[in-house]
Amino acid sequence: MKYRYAFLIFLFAFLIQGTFLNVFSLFHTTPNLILCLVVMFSLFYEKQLHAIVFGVLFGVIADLCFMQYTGISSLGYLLLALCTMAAGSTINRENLATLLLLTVFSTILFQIYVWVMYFFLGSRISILYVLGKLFVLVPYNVAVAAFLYHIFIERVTRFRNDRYYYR
Amino acid sequence: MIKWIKTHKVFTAVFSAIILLVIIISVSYFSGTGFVGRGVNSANAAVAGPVSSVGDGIKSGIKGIFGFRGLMKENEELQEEVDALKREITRIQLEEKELEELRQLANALNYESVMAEYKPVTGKIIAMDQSNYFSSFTIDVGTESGIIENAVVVSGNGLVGRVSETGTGYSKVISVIDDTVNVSFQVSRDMNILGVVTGDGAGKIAGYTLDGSAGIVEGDVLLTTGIGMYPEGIEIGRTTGVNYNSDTQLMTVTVEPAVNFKNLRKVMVLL
Repeated sequence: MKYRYAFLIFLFAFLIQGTFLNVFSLFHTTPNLILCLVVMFSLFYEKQLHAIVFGVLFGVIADLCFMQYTGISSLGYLLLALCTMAAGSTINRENLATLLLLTVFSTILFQIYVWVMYFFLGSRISILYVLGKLFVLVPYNVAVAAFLYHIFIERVTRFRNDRYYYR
Repeated sequence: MIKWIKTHKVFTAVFSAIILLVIIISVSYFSGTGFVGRGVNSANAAVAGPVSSVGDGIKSGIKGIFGFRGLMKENEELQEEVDALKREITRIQLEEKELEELRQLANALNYESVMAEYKPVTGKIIAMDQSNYFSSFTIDVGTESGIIENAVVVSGNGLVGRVSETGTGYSKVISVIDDTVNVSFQVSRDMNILGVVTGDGAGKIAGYTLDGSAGIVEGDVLLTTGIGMYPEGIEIGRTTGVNYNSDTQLMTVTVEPAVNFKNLRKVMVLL
Protein backbone atom coordinates (compact mmCIF):
# COMPACT_ATOMS: atom_id res chain seq x y z
CA MET A 1 0.00 0.00 0.00
CA LYS A 2 1.18 3.48 -0.82
CA TYR A 3 2.20 5.62 2.10
CA ARG A 4 -0.27 8.38 1.22
CA TYR A 5 -3.22 5.97 1.43
CA ALA A 6 -1.99 4.59 4.73
CA PHE A 7 -1.59 8.19 5.96
CA LEU A 8 -5.21 8.98 5.05
CA ILE A 9 -6.46 5.84 6.81
CA PHE A 10 -4.56 6.70 10.00
CA LEU A 11 -5.68 10.34 9.77
CA PHE A 12 -9.31 9.27 9.45
CA ALA A 13 -8.91 6.92 12.44
CA PHE A 14 -7.34 9.70 14.51
CA LEU A 15 -10.10 12.19 13.67
CA ILE A 16 -12.95 9.90 14.64
CA GLN A 17 -11.19 8.38 17.65
CA GLY A 18 -11.88 11.09 20.21
CA THR A 19 -15.00 12.54 18.57
CA PHE A 20 -17.34 10.45 16.41
CA LEU A 21 -16.40 7.14 18.02
CA ASN A 22 -17.77 8.30 21.39
CA VAL A 23 -21.22 7.75 19.88
CA PHE A 24 -20.46 4.03 19.84
CA SER A 25 -18.92 3.80 23.30
CA LEU A 26 -19.90 0.72 25.29
CA PHE A 27 -19.81 1.13 29.07
CA HIS A 28 -17.95 4.37 28.41
CA THR A 29 -15.21 2.55 26.56
CA THR A 30 -14.30 3.24 22.96
CA PRO A 31 -12.11 1.01 20.78
CA ASN A 32 -8.54 2.07 20.06
CA LEU A 33 -8.61 2.41 16.28
CA ILE A 34 -4.98 3.45 15.93
CA LEU A 35 -3.85 0.40 17.89
CA CYS A 36 -5.98 -1.87 15.67
CA LEU A 37 -4.48 -0.27 12.56
CA VAL A 38 -0.93 -0.56 13.90
CA VAL A 39 -1.39 -4.29 14.56
CA MET A 40 -3.06 -4.88 11.18
CA PHE A 41 -0.52 -2.93 9.13
CA SER A 42 2.39 -4.58 10.98
CA LEU A 43 0.97 -7.94 10.10
CA PHE A 44 -0.19 -7.39 6.52
CA TYR A 45 2.53 -5.06 5.27
CA GLU A 46 5.58 -6.53 6.96
CA LYS A 47 8.00 -5.28 4.30
CA GLN A 48 6.85 -1.70 4.60
CA LEU A 49 6.96 0.48 7.67
CA HIS A 50 3.44 1.96 7.63
CA ALA A 51 2.65 0.80 11.14
CA ILE A 52 5.84 2.19 12.64
CA VAL A 53 5.82 5.51 10.78
CA PHE A 54 2.14 6.32 11.23
CA GLY A 55 1.83 4.67 14.64
CA VAL A 56 4.57 6.97 15.91
CA LEU A 57 3.26 10.05 14.06
CA PHE A 58 -0.39 9.75 15.08
CA GLY A 59 0.60 8.51 18.53
CA VAL A 60 2.44 11.79 19.09
CA ILE A 61 -0.46 13.85 17.71
CA ALA A 62 -3.01 11.93 19.79
CA ASP A 63 -0.89 12.41 22.89
CA LEU A 64 -0.57 16.14 22.18
CA CYS A 65 -4.33 16.48 21.74
CA PHE A 66 -5.79 14.16 24.31
CA MET A 67 -3.26 12.99 26.87
CA GLN A 68 -1.32 14.54 29.69
CA TYR A 69 2.17 13.67 28.45
CA THR A 70 3.43 13.44 24.87
CA GLY A 71 5.14 10.41 23.37
CA ILE A 72 3.83 7.65 25.61
CA SER A 73 1.23 6.22 23.21
CA SER A 74 3.62 6.78 20.35
CA LEU A 75 6.38 4.73 21.98
CA GLY A 76 3.79 2.07 22.81
CA TYR A 77 2.61 1.82 19.20
CA LEU A 78 6.21 1.59 18.02
CA LEU A 79 7.00 -1.26 20.40
CA LEU A 80 3.73 -3.02 19.52
CA ALA A 81 4.49 -2.73 15.80
CA LEU A 82 7.92 -4.26 16.35
CA CYS A 83 6.48 -7.09 18.46
CA THR A 84 3.73 -7.79 15.91
CA MET A 85 6.24 -7.81 13.05
CA ALA A 86 8.41 -10.26 14.98
CA ALA A 87 5.40 -12.47 15.80
CA GLY A 88 4.19 -12.28 12.19
CA SER A 89 7.42 -13.80 10.89
CA THR A 90 6.61 -17.14 12.55
CA ILE A 91 2.84 -17.41 12.05
CA ASN A 92 0.34 -17.22 9.20
CA ARG A 93 -0.12 -13.52 8.63
CA GLU A 94 -3.27 -13.72 6.53
CA ASN A 95 -5.33 -15.75 8.95
CA LEU A 96 -8.12 -13.91 10.76
CA ALA A 97 -7.37 -15.76 13.99
CA THR A 98 -3.78 -14.48 13.93
CA LEU A 99 -4.92 -10.88 13.69
CA LEU A 100 -7.54 -11.27 16.41
CA LEU A 101 -5.16 -13.03 18.76
CA LEU A 102 -2.49 -10.39 18.26
CA THR A 103 -5.10 -7.67 18.79
CA VAL A 104 -6.03 -9.24 22.14
CA PHE A 105 -2.40 -9.39 23.28
CA SER A 106 -1.62 -5.93 21.93
CA THR A 107 -4.61 -4.35 23.68
CA ILE A 108 -3.72 -5.90 27.03
CA LEU A 109 -0.01 -5.07 26.70
CA PHE A 110 -0.71 -1.51 25.57
CA GLN A 111 -3.08 -0.77 28.46
CA ILE A 112 -0.65 -2.17 31.00
CA TYR A 113 2.24 -0.30 29.36
CA VAL A 114 0.32 3.02 29.51
CA TRP A 115 -0.58 2.38 33.15
CA VAL A 116 3.07 1.59 34.04
CA MET A 117 4.33 4.74 32.28
CA TYR A 118 1.77 6.99 33.95
CA PHE A 119 2.38 5.28 37.29
CA PHE A 120 6.06 6.24 37.10
CA LEU A 121 5.08 9.77 36.05
CA GLY A 122 2.98 10.13 39.21
CA SER A 123 -0.54 9.02 38.26
CA ARG A 124 -2.61 7.19 40.87
CA ILE A 125 -4.92 5.37 38.47
CA SER A 126 -5.79 1.99 39.96
CA ILE A 127 -4.45 -1.01 38.00
CA LEU A 128 -7.67 -2.87 38.85
CA TYR A 129 -9.66 -0.10 37.18
CA VAL A 130 -7.48 -0.35 34.07
CA LEU A 131 -7.75 -4.16 33.99
CA GLY A 132 -11.51 -3.90 34.52
CA LYS A 133 -11.77 -1.73 31.42
CA LEU A 134 -10.08 -4.50 29.42
CA PHE A 135 -13.18 -6.68 29.73
CA VAL A 136 -14.95 -4.29 27.37
CA LEU A 137 -11.99 -2.91 25.46
CA VAL A 138 -10.54 -6.26 24.32
CA PRO A 139 -13.76 -7.60 22.71
CA TYR A 140 -14.43 -4.17 21.21
CA ASN A 141 -10.94 -3.93 19.68
CA VAL A 142 -11.26 -7.52 18.43
CA ALA A 143 -14.57 -6.65 16.73
CA VAL A 144 -12.98 -3.61 15.08
CA ALA A 145 -9.96 -5.70 14.01
CA ALA A 146 -12.28 -8.31 12.45
CA PHE A 147 -14.12 -5.56 10.58
CA LEU A 148 -10.84 -4.07 9.33
CA TYR A 149 -9.61 -7.53 8.34
CA HIS A 150 -12.52 -8.05 5.96
CA ILE A 151 -11.86 -4.67 4.37
CA PHE A 152 -8.10 -5.01 3.96
CA ILE A 153 -7.54 -8.72 3.33
CA GLU A 154 -8.93 -8.42 -0.21
CA ARG A 155 -6.32 -5.78 -0.95
CA VAL A 156 -3.47 -7.73 0.61
CA THR A 157 -4.30 -11.07 -1.03
CA ARG A 158 -6.48 -10.57 -4.07
CA PHE A 159 -7.29 -14.18 -4.91
CA ARG A 160 -7.03 -15.75 -1.48
CA ASN A 161 -9.79 -18.30 -2.20
CA ASP A 162 -7.98 -19.52 -5.31
CA ARG A 163 -5.93 -22.51 -4.18
CA TYR A 164 -3.69 -22.29 -7.24
CA TYR A 165 -2.86 -18.70 -6.51
CA TYR A 166 0.71 -18.09 -5.46
CA ARG A 167 2.01 -14.74 -4.49
CA MET B 1 30.35 3.35 12.43
CA ILE B 2 28.77 5.02 9.37
CA LYS B 3 29.19 1.82 7.43
CA TRP B 4 27.44 -0.11 10.20
CA ILE B 5 24.58 2.41 10.21
CA LYS B 6 24.24 2.10 6.42
CA THR B 7 23.97 -1.66 6.67
CA HIS B 8 21.49 -1.49 9.55
CA LYS B 9 19.26 1.35 8.38
CA VAL B 10 15.98 0.09 9.82
CA PHE B 11 17.49 -0.81 13.17
CA THR B 12 19.17 2.61 13.39
CA ALA B 13 15.94 4.40 12.47
CA VAL B 14 13.86 2.47 15.00
CA PHE B 15 16.46 2.88 17.76
CA SER B 16 16.69 6.63 17.01
CA ALA B 17 12.89 6.89 17.13
CA ILE B 18 12.82 5.21 20.54
CA ILE B 19 15.49 7.59 21.89
CA LEU B 20 13.66 10.57 20.39
CA LEU B 21 10.35 9.50 21.94
CA VAL B 22 11.94 9.03 25.35
CA ILE B 23 13.32 12.59 25.05
CA ILE B 24 9.85 13.87 24.01
CA ILE B 25 8.24 12.15 27.02
CA SER B 26 10.84 13.68 29.36
CA VAL B 27 10.41 17.16 27.86
CA SER B 28 6.60 17.00 28.05
CA TYR B 29 6.82 15.78 31.65
CA PHE B 30 9.06 18.61 32.79
CA SER B 31 7.90 21.50 30.61
CA GLY B 32 4.56 20.64 28.92
CA THR B 33 3.77 20.52 25.24
CA GLY B 34 4.75 24.09 24.34
CA PHE B 35 3.87 25.93 21.15
CA VAL B 36 3.90 22.75 19.04
CA GLY B 37 1.20 21.23 21.25
CA ARG B 38 -0.88 24.39 21.11
CA GLY B 39 -0.63 24.52 17.31
CA VAL B 40 -1.60 20.86 16.88
CA ASN B 41 -4.47 21.22 19.37
CA SER B 42 -5.84 24.33 17.62
CA ALA B 43 -5.75 22.54 14.26
CA ASN B 44 -7.39 19.46 15.76
CA ALA B 45 -10.11 21.55 17.46
CA ALA B 46 -10.97 23.17 14.13
CA VAL B 47 -11.63 19.73 12.61
CA ALA B 48 -12.90 17.90 15.71
CA GLY B 49 -15.74 20.39 16.29
CA PRO B 50 -17.68 19.58 13.10
CA VAL B 51 -16.88 15.83 13.37
CA SER B 52 -18.17 15.83 16.94
CA SER B 53 -21.36 17.61 15.85
CA VAL B 54 -21.96 14.94 13.22
CA GLY B 55 -21.51 12.28 15.91
CA ASP B 56 -23.94 14.05 18.25
CA GLY B 57 -26.48 14.33 15.42
CA ILE B 58 -26.24 10.60 14.66
CA LYS B 59 -26.48 9.75 18.34
CA SER B 60 -29.68 11.75 18.78
CA GLY B 61 -31.07 10.23 15.56
CA ILE B 62 -30.39 6.69 16.81
CA LYS B 63 -31.84 7.58 20.19
CA GLY B 64 -34.97 8.90 18.48
CA ILE B 65 -35.44 5.76 16.39
CA PHE B 66 -34.81 3.16 19.07
CA GLY B 67 -36.02 5.03 22.09
CA PHE B 68 -39.53 6.10 21.09
CA ARG B 69 -41.18 4.67 24.19
CA GLY B 70 -38.48 6.17 26.35
CA LEU B 71 -39.05 9.53 24.70
CA MET B 72 -42.79 9.32 25.33
CA LYS B 73 -42.12 8.59 28.99
CA GLU B 74 -39.56 11.39 29.10
CA ASN B 75 -42.14 13.70 27.55
CA GLU B 76 -44.65 12.90 30.29
CA GLU B 77 -42.01 13.47 32.94
CA LEU B 78 -41.06 16.78 31.33
CA GLN B 79 -44.71 17.85 31.30
CA GLU B 80 -44.89 17.17 35.01
CA GLU B 81 -41.64 19.06 35.47
CA VAL B 82 -43.05 22.03 33.51
CA ASP B 83 -46.05 22.13 35.83
CA ALA B 84 -43.77 22.01 38.86
CA LEU B 85 -41.58 24.74 37.39
CA LYS B 86 -44.60 26.95 36.75
CA ARG B 87 -45.49 26.66 40.41
CA GLU B 88 -41.85 27.38 41.27
CA ILE B 89 -41.88 30.52 39.07
CA THR B 90 -44.89 31.84 40.94
CA ARG B 91 -43.11 31.27 44.25
CA ILE B 92 -39.87 32.84 42.95
CA GLN B 93 -41.73 35.91 41.71
CA LEU B 94 -42.97 36.38 45.23
CA GLU B 95 -39.44 36.06 46.57
CA GLU B 96 -37.94 38.31 43.90
CA LYS B 97 -39.03 41.44 45.67
CA GLU B 98 -37.44 40.19 48.86
CA LEU B 99 -34.22 39.39 46.96
CA GLU B 100 -34.12 42.85 45.47
CA GLU B 101 -34.33 44.32 48.93
CA LEU B 102 -31.46 42.09 50.06
CA ARG B 103 -29.39 43.18 47.03
CA GLN B 104 -29.93 46.80 47.90
CA LEU B 105 -28.83 45.99 51.42
CA ALA B 106 -25.74 44.19 50.09
CA ASN B 107 -24.83 47.22 47.96
CA ALA B 108 -25.32 49.45 50.95
CA LEU B 109 -22.85 47.28 52.92
CA ASN B 110 -20.41 47.11 49.94
CA TYR B 111 -20.75 43.32 49.91
CA GLU B 112 -19.97 41.50 46.65
CA SER B 113 -20.89 37.86 46.04
CA VAL B 114 -18.08 35.51 45.09
CA MET B 115 -19.96 34.19 42.05
CA ALA B 116 -20.76 37.70 40.89
CA GLU B 117 -17.02 38.18 40.28
CA TYR B 118 -17.03 35.52 37.58
CA LYS B 119 -18.09 35.77 33.98
CA PRO B 120 -19.18 32.38 32.55
CA VAL B 121 -18.14 31.30 29.04
CA THR B 122 -20.01 28.33 27.57
CA GLY B 123 -18.06 25.65 25.73
CA LYS B 124 -19.05 22.51 23.87
CA ILE B 125 -17.15 19.27 24.41
CA ILE B 126 -15.57 18.32 21.09
CA ALA B 127 -13.24 15.48 22.06
CA MET B 128 -12.67 13.06 24.91
CA ASP B 129 -9.33 11.58 25.94
CA GLN B 130 -8.49 8.32 24.22
CA SER B 131 -7.31 6.29 27.15
CA ASN B 132 -10.76 5.28 28.41
CA TYR B 133 -9.67 5.79 32.01
CA PHE B 134 -8.24 9.26 32.25
CA SER B 135 -10.87 11.91 32.63
CA SER B 136 -10.03 14.88 30.52
CA PHE B 137 -11.76 16.38 27.52
CA THR B 138 -11.41 19.23 25.04
CA ILE B 139 -13.87 22.10 24.64
CA ASP B 140 -14.26 24.44 21.68
CA VAL B 141 -13.42 27.74 23.39
CA GLY B 142 -9.95 28.97 24.19
CA THR B 143 -7.77 32.01 24.65
CA GLU B 144 -9.86 34.02 22.14
CA SER B 145 -12.71 33.90 24.72
CA GLY B 146 -10.37 34.91 27.51
CA ILE B 147 -9.94 31.45 28.98
CA ILE B 148 -6.84 30.96 31.07
CA GLU B 149 -5.15 27.94 32.63
CA ASN B 150 -6.69 26.76 35.92
CA ALA B 151 -9.99 28.49 35.16
CA VAL B 152 -12.80 26.65 36.95
CA VAL B 153 -15.24 24.62 34.85
CA VAL B 154 -18.81 23.96 36.00
CA SER B 155 -22.05 22.63 34.59
CA GLY B 156 -25.65 23.23 35.65
CA ASN B 157 -25.31 20.43 38.21
CA GLY B 158 -22.02 21.30 39.84
CA LEU B 159 -18.24 21.29 39.63
CA VAL B 160 -16.73 19.74 36.51
CA GLY B 161 -13.01 20.50 36.89
CA ARG B 162 -10.41 23.00 35.76
CA VAL B 163 -8.69 24.09 32.56
CA SER B 164 -5.31 22.40 32.28
CA GLU B 165 -4.24 23.85 28.94
CA THR B 166 -5.66 26.42 26.56
CA GLY B 167 -4.92 27.80 23.12
CA THR B 168 -6.71 29.32 20.15
CA GLY B 169 -10.07 27.60 19.74
CA TYR B 170 -9.59 24.91 22.35
CA SER B 171 -9.15 24.25 26.06
CA LYS B 172 -8.34 20.99 27.77
CA VAL B 173 -10.28 20.31 30.93
CA ILE B 174 -9.28 17.94 33.72
CA SER B 175 -12.37 16.75 35.57
CA VAL B 176 -12.70 16.40 39.34
CA ILE B 177 -12.69 12.60 39.00
CA ASP B 178 -9.07 12.80 37.81
CA ASP B 179 -6.60 11.68 40.43
CA THR B 180 -4.49 14.83 40.01
CA VAL B 181 -7.30 17.19 41.07
CA ASN B 182 -7.69 18.06 44.77
CA VAL B 183 -10.69 20.06 45.96
CA SER B 184 -11.38 21.27 49.49
CA PHE B 185 -14.98 20.80 50.58
CA GLN B 186 -17.47 21.82 53.20
CA VAL B 187 -20.66 19.99 54.03
CA SER B 188 -23.78 21.98 53.12
CA ARG B 189 -25.64 20.71 56.21
CA ASP B 190 -22.88 21.84 58.57
CA MET B 191 -20.38 24.29 57.06
CA ASN B 192 -17.91 23.63 59.89
CA ILE B 193 -17.14 20.17 58.51
CA LEU B 194 -14.22 20.60 56.13
CA GLY B 195 -12.15 18.17 54.10
CA VAL B 196 -10.40 17.39 50.84
CA VAL B 197 -11.53 15.17 47.97
CA THR B 198 -9.69 13.92 44.91
CA GLY B 199 -10.24 11.42 42.09
CA ASP B 200 -9.80 7.90 43.44
CA GLY B 201 -8.15 6.59 40.26
CA ALA B 202 -11.21 4.51 39.45
CA GLY B 203 -13.62 7.07 38.04
CA LYS B 204 -15.09 8.28 41.34
CA ILE B 205 -14.22 10.83 44.03
CA ALA B 206 -12.87 10.01 47.48
CA GLY B 207 -11.41 12.06 50.31
CA TYR B 208 -11.29 12.73 54.02
CA THR B 209 -12.47 15.25 56.58
CA LEU B 210 -9.93 17.39 58.42
CA ASP B 211 -11.55 16.50 61.74
CA GLY B 212 -11.64 12.78 62.57
CA SER B 213 -14.72 13.21 64.71
CA ALA B 214 -16.69 15.21 62.13
CA GLY B 215 -20.35 14.28 61.94
CA ILE B 216 -20.46 13.68 58.21
CA VAL B 217 -23.01 11.08 57.11
CA GLU B 218 -24.03 9.32 53.93
CA GLY B 219 -26.08 11.54 51.64
CA ASP B 220 -24.43 14.79 52.72
CA VAL B 221 -23.97 17.32 49.93
CA LEU B 222 -20.39 18.58 49.55
CA LEU B 223 -19.67 22.11 48.37
CA THR B 224 -16.47 23.90 47.47
CA THR B 225 -15.04 26.06 50.25
CA GLY B 226 -13.43 28.85 48.28
CA ILE B 227 -9.97 27.80 49.50
CA GLY B 228 -7.66 27.49 46.50
CA MET B 229 -8.80 28.01 42.94
CA TYR B 230 -12.43 26.87 43.24
CA PRO B 231 -15.01 29.52 44.20
CA GLU B 232 -17.16 28.85 47.23
CA GLY B 233 -20.54 27.14 47.05
CA ILE B 234 -20.25 24.94 43.94
CA GLU B 235 -21.68 21.47 44.48
CA ILE B 236 -19.08 18.71 44.23
CA GLY B 237 -21.27 15.71 44.93
CA ARG B 238 -23.06 13.61 47.51
CA THR B 239 -21.39 11.23 49.95
CA THR B 240 -22.13 7.57 49.27
CA GLY B 241 -19.89 6.09 51.95
CA VAL B 242 -18.34 7.28 55.22
CA ASN B 243 -15.73 5.31 57.17
CA TYR B 244 -13.46 6.07 60.06
CA ASN B 245 -9.83 5.28 59.27
CA SER B 246 -8.18 4.33 62.55
CA ASP B 247 -4.66 4.56 61.04
CA THR B 248 -4.97 8.17 59.91
CA GLN B 249 -7.69 9.00 62.47
CA LEU B 250 -9.69 10.69 59.76
CA MET B 251 -13.15 10.15 58.35
CA THR B 252 -12.77 8.92 54.77
CA VAL B 253 -15.60 9.58 52.34
CA THR B 254 -16.56 8.29 48.93
CA VAL B 255 -18.52 10.72 46.80
CA GLU B 256 -20.85 10.42 43.85
CA PRO B 257 -20.07 13.46 41.65
CA ALA B 258 -22.89 15.95 41.15
CA VAL B 259 -22.10 16.01 37.45
CA ASN B 260 -22.85 13.04 35.24
CA PHE B 261 -19.65 13.03 33.17
CA LYS B 262 -20.98 10.36 30.85
CA ASN B 263 -23.67 12.60 29.39
CA LEU B 264 -21.86 15.90 29.62
CA ARG B 265 -22.05 17.90 26.38
CA LYS B 266 -21.67 21.56 27.39
CA VAL B 267 -19.85 23.22 30.25
CA MET B 268 -19.26 26.72 31.59
CA VAL B 269 -15.82 28.16 32.25
CA LEU B 270 -15.76 30.77 35.02
CA LEU B 271 -13.52 33.72 34.22
